[in-house]
Amino acid sequence: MTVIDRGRGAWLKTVVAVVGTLAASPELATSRAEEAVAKTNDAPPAEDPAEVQRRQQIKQQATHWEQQLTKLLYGDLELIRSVTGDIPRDARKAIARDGEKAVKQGALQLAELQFGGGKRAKEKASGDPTELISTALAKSLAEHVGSPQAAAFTSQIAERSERRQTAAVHAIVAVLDGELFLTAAQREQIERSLVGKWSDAMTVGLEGMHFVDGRRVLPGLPADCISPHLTESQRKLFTVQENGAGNGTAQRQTWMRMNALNSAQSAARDPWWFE
Amino acid sequence: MKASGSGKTCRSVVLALLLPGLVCGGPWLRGEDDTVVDAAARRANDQSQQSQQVMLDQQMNGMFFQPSGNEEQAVQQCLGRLLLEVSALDEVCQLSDGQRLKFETAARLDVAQAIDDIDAVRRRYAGQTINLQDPAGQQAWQRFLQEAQAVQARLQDVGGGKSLMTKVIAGVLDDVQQVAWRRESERRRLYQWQSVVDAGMAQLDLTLGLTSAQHDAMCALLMEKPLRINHAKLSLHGNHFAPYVCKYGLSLVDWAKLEAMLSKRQQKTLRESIGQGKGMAMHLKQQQILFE
Repeated sequence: MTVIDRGRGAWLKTVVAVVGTLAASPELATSRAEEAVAKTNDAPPAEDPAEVQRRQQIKQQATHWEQQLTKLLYGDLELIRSVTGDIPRDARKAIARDGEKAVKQGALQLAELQFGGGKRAKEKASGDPTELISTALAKSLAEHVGSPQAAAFTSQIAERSERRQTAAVHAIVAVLDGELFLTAAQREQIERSLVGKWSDAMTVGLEGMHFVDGRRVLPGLPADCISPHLTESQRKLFTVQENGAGNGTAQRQTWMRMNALNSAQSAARDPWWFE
Repeated sequence: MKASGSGKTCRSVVLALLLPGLVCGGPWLRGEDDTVVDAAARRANDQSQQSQQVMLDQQMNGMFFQPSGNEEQAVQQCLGRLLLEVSALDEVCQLSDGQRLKFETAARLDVAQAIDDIDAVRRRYAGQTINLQDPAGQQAWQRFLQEAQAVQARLQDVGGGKSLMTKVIAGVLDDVQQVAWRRESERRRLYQWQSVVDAGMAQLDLTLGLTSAQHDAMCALLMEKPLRINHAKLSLHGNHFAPYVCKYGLSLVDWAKLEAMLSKRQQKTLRESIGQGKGMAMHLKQQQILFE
């Protein structure tokens, strides 16, 4: 009881002292109040443990993606070396450094995407991670070596993208062939149709296995690329799932491309670029 | 009243005899509720034992006729696939009605034979219940799993190399038709191989940093020697095995030719990649995805 009384007394004394000070100096009071408000605004909000954990997961996972993306970096650096020949030491070190920065940036984007970094992270990471590195290297090459060399590299990258598209078309038609027993003429017609209306979303069905009534289907394939080239009996067996690719197609493609690197053997770090 | 020394000793002995019983709750101390608890525990134990009991009749359809688990559907799909082959034959070879009928009959007989073979397996395991907690039951389960895989393979292979359909082709088609069909089959085989090469080279393209010229030259070498593969089985695993098959294919290509077109660094990475392909080849051959 005594303790409580003493405490209340001390509180009253403090209030009286503060009021006295404020009354004595209004400017000081305003200034202190503003400081207090500013401090409240600047103070970091209490950390959400779930958010802290998410950031840790992103950091850890980024290390994994860094290893995967480094495979692409070393491949692209090799391609630059083949295309451009000799490059001054300082320039090649700068290019390699820019490549490594792109790898780190890409890895972080992928990890943010993986652990739900919000719409912005998804939009940022929805691009092709292989292109992210190639684009950074082309820019750096133009800056440190010259535009013709950068153009030669970019041209090789564009041809590689075309090859990847061709490979995807072949893979799709090979699956359809397995299901529908296409003739060579039908395969060619379907290939042409797919190339004519190409969208990367068409490859989504190649990821994993999708079945309807026990029959494999390829979600995301436009029916008008396939159906007109089928016989009546084939058409009966061809299940269309044009919208099957659904939302998040771009992200699924990103994962597909990254998963495809799992079994890829990485080139060794080429000291020519880094030392 | 004071207890005598002998009385104390007697009480101690009685207590010593009773104490373990009290602590452990001997049966003569249990009430009616305790009996209920015992029965529940026994029932739970029995159920746990029973949950390890597998009635094979209930497992067969799900395991034999994947992915649907529906026998009728699986058989119809199988027949449908063979009839599509007959349609392709018709398209390429312009079959007469008589020829078409013979092929359709062969297709139906192939499917009927497959169903007979599967029924034989079904009869072998009908009514069997195995206990997975028992080593003998575990062995029986393993045998059953192997049989289930064989049944799946049997359904996939209907119309394959040893089928009536394949045997009939040579007898039913005339010479011109046979040439046309052989060319068509070869184009199909090459197309399937091309898709495997594409999948593998897409990966090597990125990691070796190939120029277009290098890529095309390597593809050409791979296309010179198409491997014998079961593309249907390969594609059952999505895109997982195709790069390995391609890398294994590269192991059979003349290394001197590859060496001539690649830098020393690319050669080193390629050698390691080929090692991966060789490492996987044994498994792929066991799975009958790769035949050479």
